[in-house]
Amino acid sequence: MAASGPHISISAERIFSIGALHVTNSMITSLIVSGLLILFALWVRMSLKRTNRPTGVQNLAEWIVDGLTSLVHSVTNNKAKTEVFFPVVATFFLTIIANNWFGLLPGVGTIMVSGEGAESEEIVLAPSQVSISNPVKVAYASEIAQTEEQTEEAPAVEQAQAVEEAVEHVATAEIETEGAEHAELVPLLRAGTADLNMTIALGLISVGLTQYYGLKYLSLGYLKKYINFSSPINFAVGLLEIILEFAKVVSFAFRLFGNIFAGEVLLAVISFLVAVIAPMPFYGLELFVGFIQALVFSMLSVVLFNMATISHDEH
Amino acid sequence: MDIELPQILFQIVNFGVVVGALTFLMYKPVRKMLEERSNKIEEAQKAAESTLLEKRNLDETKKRLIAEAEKEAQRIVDEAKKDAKRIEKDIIAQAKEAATVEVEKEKQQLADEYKNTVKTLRQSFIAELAAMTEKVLGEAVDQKVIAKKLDKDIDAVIAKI
Repeated sequence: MAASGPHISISAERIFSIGALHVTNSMITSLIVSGLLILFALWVRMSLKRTNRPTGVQNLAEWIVDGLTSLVHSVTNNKAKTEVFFPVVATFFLTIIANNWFGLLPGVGTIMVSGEGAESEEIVLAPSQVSISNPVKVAYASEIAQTEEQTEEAPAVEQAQAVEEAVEHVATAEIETEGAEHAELVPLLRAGTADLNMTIALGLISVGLTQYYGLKYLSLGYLKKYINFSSPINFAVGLLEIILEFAKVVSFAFRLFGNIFAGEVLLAVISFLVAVIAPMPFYGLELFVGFIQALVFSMLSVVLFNMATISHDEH
Repeated sequence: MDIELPQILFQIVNFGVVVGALTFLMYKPVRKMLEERSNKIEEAQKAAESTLLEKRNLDETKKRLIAEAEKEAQRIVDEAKKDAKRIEKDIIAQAKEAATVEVEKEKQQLADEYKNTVKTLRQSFIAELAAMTEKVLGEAVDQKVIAKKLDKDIDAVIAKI
C-alpha cells in the first residue's frame, strides 16, 4: 500500500463488522461523541444548583440552552412550538458541532489500526504522485513500477521476459489481494459528519420530523401540500413538493458532508505540505466552518419544522 | 461512497438516544431552572416596582405632610406673633396704667407732704411770731388770733413760692 502521503478516503473505513452492520471509524467517533455529550449532560444534571449566580459547567449549560432556546424561538415566535422543537434542534446543533470539532482533535485520522478498509477507492497523496491504494490496484501499480525499473536496466529480451513475469505477478497479486482484500491500516477515528451515512441519517431525521410535525399540527390537511386535485397545476406542484422532500435530504446530507470532508482534505493536504504553523489558520477556519454548518443545519431544520406547522392559508 | 442502510439506521438510533438523554439530563432541568429564575426575577421586579411605587407615594405623602406642617407652622407663628403683639400692647398698657397710678400716688404723697410741711411751717411761724409779739408787747398773745389775721398773707407768700 502506498501510504507515504496523507490518508484521504471519501468513505468511512470499516474497522470490524457485527453481522450486517459494518462498524466504521466514523461510527466509532459518533458513538464516542454521543457518549461525551451524554456524560456532559450527566455532569450538568449532577452539578445543577438553585442559585442566581451559576458557575462552571452549570453556567456553560445554561448559556447553551438559553442561546439555543432563543434561536428556536426567534424562528417559531411561539412558546409551545419552541418547547416541541427545541430538544431535537438543540441536539442537532450539539451533535453536529461536537462531531465536526472532534474531527479536528489530534489523533483523529492519524491513529491507524488494522481494519477492513473502505469498499470504494481510497486516494493517497504521495509527494510526487497520486496513487490509488485499493489493494488490487496498489499491487498492480507496484508491479508496473517494478517492471518499468527492470525495463530501464535490462536488454530487450530480458525486458520482454520481465514484462511477462510482471504480468503473471500481477495476475497472482490480484488473486492474492482479493483474498486479503480488507487487511490494511485504516484510521481508528474519523469525524462523524465526514461520513455520508451519518449526514443522510440526520437529513432523514430532519425531513421525517418535518412531516411528523406537519401532520401533528395540521392533521391530514398537511397532505394537501403533496396531493392536491383542485387543479392540474396544484397537482403538479404537489408532485414537485414530494420530490423536494427527497431533495432536502440530499441537500442536508451533502452540504454537511461536503463541507466537513472538504475541511478534512484541506487540513490533511496542508499538514502534509507544511507540517508546522501553516495548518493553524486552517484549523481556525475549520472550527468556524464546523460551527456554521451546525448552525445552518439546525436553523434550516427549525425553519422547515415551523413552515410545516403553518397551513397554506396562514402563508 | 458506501451508503449502507444499517449504518443509517444505527445513526438514527444513536441520535434518538442522544436526544432522549440530553432532554432528560440537561434540557428539561436547565430550562426548568431558567424558567424558575426568570419567574423569580419577574416577581422580584414586580415587588421592586410596587415598592418603588409605594416609596413614591410615601414621598408624595411626606412632601404633602411637610408642606401642610410648614403651612401650619407658619399659621402658628403668625398667630403667635399676633398674640405676642397683643400681649405686648396689653403689657405696655398695664405698665402705663400702673406707672400712672404710681405717679398719681407719688404726686398725692408729695402734695400731702407739702401740705404738712406748709402747715408745720405756718404753725412754727405763727408760734415764733406770737413769741416775738409777746416779747415786744410784754403781754400774752393768742396764737389763734395771729393765725386768723395772717392766714391770708401767709397763703399769698406760699402762693408766690
